[in-house]
Amino acid sequence: MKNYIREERAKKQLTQAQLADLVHVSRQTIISIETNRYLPSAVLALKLAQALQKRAEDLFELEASD
Amino acid sequence: MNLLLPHRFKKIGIVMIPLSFAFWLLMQKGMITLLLTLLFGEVNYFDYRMVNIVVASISFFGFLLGVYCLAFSREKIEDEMVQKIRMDSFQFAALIQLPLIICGFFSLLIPGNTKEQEVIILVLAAALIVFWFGFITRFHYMLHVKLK
Repeated sequence: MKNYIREERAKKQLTQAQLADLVHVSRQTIISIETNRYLPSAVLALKLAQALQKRAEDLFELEASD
Repeated sequence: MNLLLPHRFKKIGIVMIPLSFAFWLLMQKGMITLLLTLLFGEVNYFDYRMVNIVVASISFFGFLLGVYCLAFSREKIEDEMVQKIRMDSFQFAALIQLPLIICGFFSLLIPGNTKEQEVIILVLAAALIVFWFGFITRFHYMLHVKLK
């Protein structure tokens, strides 16, 4: 699964720590999501979408391998 | 159901494990008896033996308690990724424990093995240590090294 968290976060001028605080996770979790080492749950994906004021499907994209 | 201890218990575990192990090692090497002899002279051997048994018991249970504190304390931020790593680490620990138990069981079937009781105790102790240290090592490695 491809995601655009890093790009959208940069557009909103949020740091990883600020985004982590907004969705109540650790900065490590945001780093892992951005680098595709961790796939968030649906709840966290929706929280991220809410924090970045985007739709979840704009943040996450299925790849051929999924 | 959340059975995890507060984060501060992790530090307690980190202190308790080496401390208990050091006491156990000192007891095994006869240092406790030596220290008592230096302090109080040659008294009744039985009294020092009792002290050694008490030190061994306290250090063993202190060690186990430290391991449980380290394994079951929350991270500063206990989020879904930490919970997933925790779950995966439990699976990993159970998996590495399984061959040990199987090997231990089959070693009892070796003809001429007269030390069944010792083997059972050794396998149980090793299984316990492998499980908890496998879990703790994998969990902290994933969290603080690999995903840092």
